[in-house]
Amino acid sequence: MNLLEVDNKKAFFILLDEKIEPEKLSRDELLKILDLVFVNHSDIVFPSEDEFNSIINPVEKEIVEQIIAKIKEFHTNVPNIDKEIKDQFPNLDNLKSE
Amino acid sequence: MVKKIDFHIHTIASKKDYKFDFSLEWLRDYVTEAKLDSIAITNHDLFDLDNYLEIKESLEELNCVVYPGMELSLEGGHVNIVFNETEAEILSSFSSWIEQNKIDFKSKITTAEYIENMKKWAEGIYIFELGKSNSLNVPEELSSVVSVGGVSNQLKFQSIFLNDNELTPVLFSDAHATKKDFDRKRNDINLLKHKNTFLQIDNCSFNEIKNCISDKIKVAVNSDWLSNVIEIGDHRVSTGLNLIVGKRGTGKTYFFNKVKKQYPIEEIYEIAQFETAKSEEYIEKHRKKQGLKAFENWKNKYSTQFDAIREYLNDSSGDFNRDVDNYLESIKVYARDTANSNSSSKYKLTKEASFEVISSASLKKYLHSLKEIITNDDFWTYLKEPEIKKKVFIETYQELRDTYTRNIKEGKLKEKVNGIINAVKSISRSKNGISKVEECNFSETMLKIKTEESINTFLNEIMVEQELKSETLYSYKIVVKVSPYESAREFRENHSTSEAVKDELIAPYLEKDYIEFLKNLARKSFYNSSNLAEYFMHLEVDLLDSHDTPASGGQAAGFALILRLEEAKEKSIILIDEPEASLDNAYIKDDLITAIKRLKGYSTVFVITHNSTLGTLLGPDYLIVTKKIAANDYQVLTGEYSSKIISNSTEDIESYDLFVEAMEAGIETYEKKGEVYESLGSR
Repeated sequence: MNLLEVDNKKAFFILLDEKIEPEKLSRDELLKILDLVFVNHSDIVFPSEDEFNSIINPVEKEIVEQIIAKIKEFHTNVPNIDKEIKDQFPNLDNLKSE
Repeated sequence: MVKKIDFHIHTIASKKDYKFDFSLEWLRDYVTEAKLDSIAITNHDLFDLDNYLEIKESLEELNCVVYPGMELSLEGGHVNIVFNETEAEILSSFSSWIEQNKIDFKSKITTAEYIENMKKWAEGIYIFELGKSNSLNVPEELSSVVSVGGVSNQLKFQSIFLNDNELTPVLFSDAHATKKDFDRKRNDINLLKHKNTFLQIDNCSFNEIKNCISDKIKVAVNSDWLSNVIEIGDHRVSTGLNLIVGKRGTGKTYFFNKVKKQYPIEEIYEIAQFETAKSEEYIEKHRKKQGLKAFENWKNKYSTQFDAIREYLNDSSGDFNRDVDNYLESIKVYARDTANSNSSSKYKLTKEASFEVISSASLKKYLHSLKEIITNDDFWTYLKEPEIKKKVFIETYQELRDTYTRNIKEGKLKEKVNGIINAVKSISRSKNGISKVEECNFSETMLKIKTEESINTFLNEIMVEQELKSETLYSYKIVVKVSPYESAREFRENHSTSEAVKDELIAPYLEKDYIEFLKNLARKSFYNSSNLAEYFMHLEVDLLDSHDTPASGGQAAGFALILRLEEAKEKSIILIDEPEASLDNAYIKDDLITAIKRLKGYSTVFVITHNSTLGTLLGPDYLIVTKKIAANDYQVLTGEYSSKIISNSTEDIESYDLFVEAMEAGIETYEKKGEVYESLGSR
């Protein structure tokens, strides 16, 4: 699952069927992207160096690089977060039979 | 008391048996070693009066009562007949008749012949052998006599004892009183002494035995199953169930006081007169206790989740929406500044994102749990080879600890690196004027979002009406259930608060916006995090009758009494004074009697009653009748209930008149009542 698409040297964050320009990325959209990364942790494909370099607008490129770097950091923490949640809120089906 | 009896012993080989030589010495040894209180001589279609009298005389000094009897070959099968000592000669005459008329060893006697030739046949005890090839069903002509089922081993005794439709079982030896027998099993005392029956009787009189075997629960193959006797002052009472009757002012309370004087107060549970009528307070206490216990169990079941919710509410770290907004805004400004500046690109470090460190609470929790087990000395005493098992736990702990310390080190390292990056960025910003990117920890943000999602899912699942406990006690049921709050008023009442809760709490609660509800709840002055679960659900405890409808006041009184009887089981002695107050006869018959009878399996019970339903249907082990002789002078007579005899140190009397007098105000009243019922029933 790609997080970024560079189309005609312009970068877009991918949120399901939506393409979002980096400068127009809103809080809700960023949180939805993070949720996708959380849910599809193992399928996430991060953009390559070449893709970053193909972005022509320097502002766009800077925004994309900063956000993707933070998402990558978040991505490494997803298994721990998932585990933490499951430990705190175990599956209730196992408790119902008690 | 408990007496041991063998109902079937052969002393003379008849023409239907193989030969063996009678030994009085063997019989005396058997009676002594088996500790028998009574035996019956039951030879095959034969009664030898001389032999019987010789045995009787000899065993008298061993305090063993000997009854005359016979193993009779009736047409349909075998039956042992046992008669009172006074009928020995009649039995001898019948034996002569058999000898003269049934010459062939295969000859059988018809029931009609038996009835015709055995005088006083109706007064005997009939032991129909069960589970053998020659077993016999009780012939119709003998249906009115006292009958029991004879068995040859304890397992058969048990299976027949547990079957309500079967006769009362008795275990007998079928021994041959001889020193040398063709079949070793017939004279092996060590074997035969386990083939006897215990009866709950005070004396081995024929009538006591006869009355006793009519009540199955007073017959056993183990003396421990029966109630024995103890002395209260000069009075003998049962260790089981004692019924005390007598007119008012005849010394029943005086007798209770004697029991209380003789035993320490901490061993006695007393339900005093009229206490059963004061049930409300007791029920309320029990209702509360049951409710809280069930609710505690429910809370414990979800303790992990409730702890996580508490932790969520305690976490005062900022508003993640604002953090994300600030971050996005700052990054756009930063990007524009960077694009306009050429200097920043020289230092890659200035563009690096900070590491995101999240704490690992679970790992720490597991480490604590493991450590608790490893260091708990008592825990390991329950296991075989504890050292080997403990080693595995220690290895697991070590591995987990290594992971934990690695994570901690990594986290610390990342924090240090973040510090360096921030310092570089700060220096760079001071040189080139590029604005700062605001901090925003995506991992912490998502952890919080996912926690909120999980809290909502969890609360949605558990916040439905559910029965936590349903306990049936006789014909009552205590039902503990939890259900979601329906109104602000209900919530306020439950938490004894006058604070407004409708808009801030109940509105989001009813809309299932539990995060909003929790956030507002945590701000309330009455909020106490240790009562968290109580804010989610409303607890109800219902007392229902057998039709699942709420119990009435009178029913509640009965239920309170049942609860007290359950509680009483913990004590060795239970004194119950007139439990019938506020109870109807149907309840006394259906529930109270069963509950009191069950108590005797745990404790020695004394019940005072003036209620004829309770008194006549209770079926106690011992009857205690009190009489007033003069001011402050009372007479107490006691006796095994089934013996129909009560006595004190000076006299033995039949219990009938005194019992009927106490229960019915005399037989005339009882008969009059019968006439009234009959008249009401006739058209």
